[in-house]
Amino acid sequence: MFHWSHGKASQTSSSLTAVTMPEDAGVKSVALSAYRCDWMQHAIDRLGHLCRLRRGWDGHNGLPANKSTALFASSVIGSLMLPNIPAPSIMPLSYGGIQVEWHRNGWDIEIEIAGPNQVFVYTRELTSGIEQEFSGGANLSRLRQIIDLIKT
Amino acid sequence: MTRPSDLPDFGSPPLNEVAISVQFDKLDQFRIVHAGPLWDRFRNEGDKVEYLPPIQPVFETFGVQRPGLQQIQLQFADGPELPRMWFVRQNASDLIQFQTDRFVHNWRKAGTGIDYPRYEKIRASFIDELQILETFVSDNELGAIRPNQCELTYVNVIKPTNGENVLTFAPPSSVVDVGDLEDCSVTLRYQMIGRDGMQIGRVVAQTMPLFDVNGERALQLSITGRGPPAEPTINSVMDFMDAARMAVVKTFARVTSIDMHKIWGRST
Repeated sequence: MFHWSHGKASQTSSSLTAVTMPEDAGVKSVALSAYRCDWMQHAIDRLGHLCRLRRGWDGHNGLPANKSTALFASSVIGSLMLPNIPAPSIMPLSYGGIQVEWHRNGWDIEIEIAGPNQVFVYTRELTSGIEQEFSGGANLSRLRQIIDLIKT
Repeated sequence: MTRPSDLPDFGSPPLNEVAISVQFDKLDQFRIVHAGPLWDRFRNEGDKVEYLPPIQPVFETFGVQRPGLQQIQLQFADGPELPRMWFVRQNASDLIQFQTDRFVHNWRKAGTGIDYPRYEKIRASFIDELQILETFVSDNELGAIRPNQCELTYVNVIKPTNGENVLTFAPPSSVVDVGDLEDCSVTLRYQMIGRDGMQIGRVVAQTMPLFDVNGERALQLSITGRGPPAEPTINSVMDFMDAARMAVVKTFARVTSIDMHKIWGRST
């Protein structure tokens, strides 16, 4: 027979005396390690700031960033970042969404994150003027290909 | 719901806990004053309530070659967070967990001689309780439950009695000129592929050595299926859970040894 306690924030409750303590089977709160980008802390701070905007920040009825949206945005940014990806601009959207932008290497790339699993991407190649738009959820494979265009 | 015929079946699985969990967009209007009335909706004679720190949200993303773990914890310094609440049933086996962005039903092996009630029963309880929560949120004009992540976890505690190999893989038991292996923890991540061939989630299997309350060594094998629902609806959540159940059980059958399957009474 095994006992349960609740000393750590995991959704399972088993608390057996562990020899080692790897990740919980439940939720992870994970620090970046080997591939941490210089700008990542700034991005995290920026997302937190957007969640604390006052209502009406845009001179109208602009809402602060939705917290669930910001958390998903942090997951997206964390999944895409590599040391050779430059820092994005991270902007609030009046309805509580978040926009992540790069304007680099002759490309405009704008990612609108409307909520968890709701991603809308707009790209424009400046020389040709060719634009494309697509939407997605948790699968970031197409977005990854786009981001590769702006590697340093 | 009937059990899929191609699912490995064990008469006496080493399950110690099952957690079925949905994460949803934060209910910003939920305040501490709502906790009591919510408890009243779930409360039965003899139940207990406890308070814990909230679980941090997590989002699985796919299609990116991940050089390592890339998840980031985002902290909001805008006041104290509401706690996670445990509603513990009198039988101590069933547990409901609520926080403003997550709802969980746990079944736990709360004593010897208690049989695993099977996924179908836990699933039915979870749906009933989630509907109670939805009604409460609606009645109190707190917004809406908009699911954004689903998670199913099976926690097994395995104690081989005759030195059987538990897993289908093993590290060297010793290294010449170094010494014997003392313990080992392993994390395996598998893609979870949907009917259309696209990745819909991720399965994470983790092993961890541990001691039980009697000080005897055992192995904990936790297997979690996690991912977003196809749509932010309860039906989509349950579709994901059913797929995760298949993935978790098949992963369990694949990573554990045939010797242990015999002990656990595998029939299919």
